[in-house]
Amino acid sequence: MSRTTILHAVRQAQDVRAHRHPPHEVKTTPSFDLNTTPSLAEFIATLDLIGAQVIRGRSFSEAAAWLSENVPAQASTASRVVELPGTVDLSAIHDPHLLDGIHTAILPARFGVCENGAVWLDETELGPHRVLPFIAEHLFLVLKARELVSTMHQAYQRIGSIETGFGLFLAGPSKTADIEQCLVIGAHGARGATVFILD
Amino acid sequence: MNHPSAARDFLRDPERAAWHDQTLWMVRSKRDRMAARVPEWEQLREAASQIKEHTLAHLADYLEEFADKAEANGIQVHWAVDGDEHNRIVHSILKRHHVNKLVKSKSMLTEECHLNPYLQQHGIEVIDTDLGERIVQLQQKPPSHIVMPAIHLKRAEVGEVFHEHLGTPAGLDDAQQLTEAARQHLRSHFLTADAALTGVNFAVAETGGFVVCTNEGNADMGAHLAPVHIACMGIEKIIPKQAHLGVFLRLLARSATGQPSTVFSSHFLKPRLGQEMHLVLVDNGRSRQLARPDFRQSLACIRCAACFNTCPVYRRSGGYSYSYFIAGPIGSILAPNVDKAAHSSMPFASTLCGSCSNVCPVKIDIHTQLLKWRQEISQAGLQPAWKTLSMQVMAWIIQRPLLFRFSGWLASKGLPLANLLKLDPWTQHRDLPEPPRESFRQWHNNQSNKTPVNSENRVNPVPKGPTPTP
Repeated sequence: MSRTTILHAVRQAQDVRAHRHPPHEVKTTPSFDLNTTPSLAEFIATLDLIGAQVIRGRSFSEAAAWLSENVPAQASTASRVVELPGTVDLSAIHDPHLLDGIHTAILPARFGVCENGAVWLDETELGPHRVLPFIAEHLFLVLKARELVSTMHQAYQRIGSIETGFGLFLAGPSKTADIEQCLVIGAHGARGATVFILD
Repeated sequence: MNHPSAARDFLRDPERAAWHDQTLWMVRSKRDRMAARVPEWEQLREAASQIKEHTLAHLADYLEEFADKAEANGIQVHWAVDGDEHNRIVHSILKRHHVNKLVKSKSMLTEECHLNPYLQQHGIEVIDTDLGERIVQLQQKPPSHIVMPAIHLKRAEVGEVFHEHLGTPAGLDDAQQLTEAARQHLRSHFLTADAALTGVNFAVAETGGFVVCTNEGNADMGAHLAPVHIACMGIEKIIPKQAHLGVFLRLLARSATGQPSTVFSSHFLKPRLGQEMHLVLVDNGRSRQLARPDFRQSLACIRCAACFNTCPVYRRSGGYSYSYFIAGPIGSILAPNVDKAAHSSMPFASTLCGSCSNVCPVKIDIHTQLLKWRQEISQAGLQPAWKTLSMQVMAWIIQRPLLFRFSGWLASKGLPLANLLKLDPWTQHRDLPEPPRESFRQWHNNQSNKTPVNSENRVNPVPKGPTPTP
């Protein structure tokens, strides 16, 4: 059994005495900035830096108006936000491959992280199709303005234990700089990400 | 080939070498800007270092905890002692599912195990889906950098590769259009793949879940579409708790590419409905490295490649001048563990300036380990004969004061000639500095003659400098 072989070899090799810090001294969660207050201005500035578009509004009808202006009328949209229905019935789709060709995925974000512009979603938000935020050509993420944390430490505190089988920090549109370090937005995932901040 | 000769080939095109140097320096500068925006950056590095050190000291327990939790979550866990076993495991899973086509996101481990050629021999088509990796795969070359696999290529060269393999118009060298062509090409593969393989950035013992970070979204496109997902990881990727991800995800992208975060940080805990998820834990020499107190800290590496981008030798010699697939400073301390003789020149591909250790997000003492490998390699007699001989000659000379003084005199007189003839490789691109007019010994003797020894001098016997002559 390779499990036994490997674990035995590792146990032989690891030498607790040779390490600088006894286990109890390791800071499992660094405590340095867990009390900072999140700032919406910082979050918006970071989104701008990572190539995401920011829209602010007071109601879902403003979001709906933006979508009808910016998404072609004949384009297919898939939505997980009740107030902003899409054209595709996600519950009727059983094979994720059929999601290819979705123009815009409309997704609720649980909270945003100010320091890096990421938003958190797990299967509660994503629904049955994990591939949705990757396969759609564009993303429209709905986030309530008060749902912000300042750093990733607070983010994990807030997440607690992930209750579903998959969770995702999503920070802006997909991108690559693999060709001569030229930044290109839209690698395999979405070509654009719009974050609608609901005040 | 050893590093000096391969580097010489790279430097035959000085313009390209200068471009390579500048491109990587740009990435290093972006990293600096990002790090400077985090006031607690140094505390983060220290926390990361301590978490990794603690984990390595209790690795077996955390591995068991992780594997048990992962299995309880419905992930099928496999253990591989070496690269061969890893390849056999992956192949057996693929065979069971009659897989013809596998889409793969970046995994340095599968590169280490030579998985692609193994699967291709068994008739399975392997598509690397990271853009940079796909480019070098089409060229049938390995990555030259672990984060930016095609960093050594110019746009026009990528255009040629795509023209030949993807049918883009000849002469196309626009990064946007080339990326679009790759997107279309790879999407067709994502939609038709029978299985997906990904690497693992972090595996959390507490939850049995693992995290994969990409900017392109390629790992997720593969994993969430295919009916089978195989994730492969080295046993050192474990961290104890989910909260520790807060520390590592803050460090990883900032150190790697100068971004505040990767675009996608995906947390896989359970297979999706109807999907099979496998995880292969690979040792392949890691327990051997763990048993070497001088080198075990190298296992803390999170593969950000910050040490590559800052290294004056890597920037000026390129990834292909290193004999191991992980190049740069970290590769140079990992490779000798795999095969000391085959990679004996790698720890010498460094100025020991220590910049690698200073940018390392987990504070690996890379330059100290480089020096220690040099000592081990020398003691094992793996140095080129001329190096050993010149050291022996040197030792013989410095044991004979008269001869030593004579050699010093000879060197000071012979220096202009050395510059003129460019005998030493060091003088190919620069002159040695002018020799001082007097040797240290002469200067010291002059000082002793000038200044009488008294109690004041004994307290502070080091003279501030030569007394100016009136």
